[in-house]
Amino acid sequence: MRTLIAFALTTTLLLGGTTSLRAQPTGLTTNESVIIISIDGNLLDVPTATERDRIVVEIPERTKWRVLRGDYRKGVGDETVVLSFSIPAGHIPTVTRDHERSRLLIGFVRDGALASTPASVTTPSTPSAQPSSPASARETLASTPASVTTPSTPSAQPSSPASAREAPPSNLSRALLQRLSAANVDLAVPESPAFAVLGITPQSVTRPTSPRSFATSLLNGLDEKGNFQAGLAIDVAPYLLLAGPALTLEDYQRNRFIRFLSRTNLSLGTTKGATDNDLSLKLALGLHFTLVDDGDPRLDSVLLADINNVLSEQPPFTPEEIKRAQVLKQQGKTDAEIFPDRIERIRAALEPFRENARKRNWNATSWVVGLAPSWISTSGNTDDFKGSGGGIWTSYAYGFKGIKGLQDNSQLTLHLRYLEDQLVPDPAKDGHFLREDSLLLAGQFRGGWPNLNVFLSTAYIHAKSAGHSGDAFRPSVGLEYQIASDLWLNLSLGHEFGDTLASDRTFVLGSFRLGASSKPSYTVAP
Amino acid sequence: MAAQLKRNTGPAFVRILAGFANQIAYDLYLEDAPDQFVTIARRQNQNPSTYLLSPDPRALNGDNVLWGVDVVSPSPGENQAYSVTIEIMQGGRIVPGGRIVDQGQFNGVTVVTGTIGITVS
Repeated sequence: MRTLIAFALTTTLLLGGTTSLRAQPTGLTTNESVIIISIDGNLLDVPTATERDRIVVEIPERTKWRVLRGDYRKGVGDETVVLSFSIPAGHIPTVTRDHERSRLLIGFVRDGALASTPASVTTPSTPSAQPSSPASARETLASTPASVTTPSTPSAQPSSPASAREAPPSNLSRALLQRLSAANVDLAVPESPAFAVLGITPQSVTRPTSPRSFATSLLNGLDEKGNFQAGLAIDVAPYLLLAGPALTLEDYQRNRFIRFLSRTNLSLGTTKGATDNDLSLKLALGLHFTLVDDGDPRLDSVLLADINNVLSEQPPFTPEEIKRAQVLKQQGKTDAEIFPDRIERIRAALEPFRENARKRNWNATSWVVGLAPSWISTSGNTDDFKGSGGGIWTSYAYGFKGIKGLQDNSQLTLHLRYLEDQLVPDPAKDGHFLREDSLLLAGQFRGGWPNLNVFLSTAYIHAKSAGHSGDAFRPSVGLEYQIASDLWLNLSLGHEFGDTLASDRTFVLGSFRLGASSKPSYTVAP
Repeated sequence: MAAQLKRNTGPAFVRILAGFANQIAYDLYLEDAPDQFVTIARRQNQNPSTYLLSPDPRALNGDNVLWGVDVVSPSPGENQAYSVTIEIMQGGRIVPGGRIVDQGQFNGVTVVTGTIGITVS
């Protein structure tokens, strides 16, 4: 976290457009204020939805929260606290879940006028908040995803084809540009592809830890006639479900195939039509494969040695305290409740070593693939399920290992995403949806040196919707150069064009940043 | 629950195993008389590992094995899985009632403690 106390003067120069001059807090690089909500709980339990000119955030009643930035209205839902924020006229909200810092960030992108926004606008400036790398998938070995990447569309997205409408080309181009903007936000493969392809952010995801609990979860998702019920959300690592209790760290390190199996996640989700009259049910099955992960903490010998050192330095359990613990456990307490101080002490002692490991591995090479076929049943009966498109994602991040000058401070990320037969919000009409096939290709290079940071990114999207098809393409380049000890120059240059756009647009963004720190605003290497 | 040893089947062992590729450090004790403890392992991290309880199982009748284990996941994420298995073995096999599995979810660091009694027939 930067401790920079600075201000930025950002000059946006739209070629052929207007010029604006504005003060902007460092670190918030969108052209509108960003809403920040700190949430003490699982961000996946906090759905968002757009309602007319407001974006609504539902937080479970017992979850602690705090709005760090933004004006809001507060209401009460069914066992939830409902916060709503005004959407600036002519803007579209984008939602980012920063799992590391337990924050929900809501930004606003100008609708149809993305030319004023550089490609880097929503790219977090530090690797810790960087969701665009497939390496983010390495956070957990267990069956639980560290993050679920889902569209920031309403959780009540209808699944009925009846609600899809024909898209005129102008809408398609606007939709394409939104996708393109979103592509800059996230080059990651969703941890739970089933939820992503359904366009849902489940309020609660079942993560069974044993075959029995998996079977129970599945059965709970069926009604008495054997039909799937809406709201099913299961996420599981099948191999760990079966073999996890016997999987030692040594086995994991020795066997590449075991590592592949351990990192493979399966997700299963269902969602129903948006209205009471709509009986349709959509089902998706997702698979998430990590084919390469050079930054796996379980293969980081330095980190493992640090952990061993921390553990060996802990005072031994005494027989007396073990016996006392058993008495307390008989009274219903858990070991974690009996030994909170010990757990916290170990956690605190590990923190700097985990941070060092994160710095070592932030740009490690990784390759992740996600697949999610989906089916729809218009009657809601399981017998009527028919294929209904799906999605495939893949991200490859290359860390330039062994290449001097690049291996510590650079990363190249390539991303492909194909979604078939997906319902996406119609930017022209609230509450309406378009049925769309889309292909996204994106790439990003980030490099950082003591006085210079550069990024190059490009994204291409092709979409087909109701007989219309279109393309949009946006390459951009940016640099940040240290002119003096506390003065940085930021420059971004990009171009966007496509066959559905009224005209090609070029954007240039320049800014000077003065600060009490000599650190750059978007340090690439930690 | 007690682990049921046989008096003529040879030495008895305790085996500890932590799953889900986590790291551990553990202490093992044998309570061979009320509130009298013999240390079997102190701050060990070998996983899995097997320790001799007694070459003569008859000496273990009525004893308890106690364990305290610190479990750490190398990954810092939340809702990860952990598992610690304790097995009392004789003749190369787990004896009846001699297996305890403590399994659950944790946020990177947790503690597992437990005891198991021993009977000899």
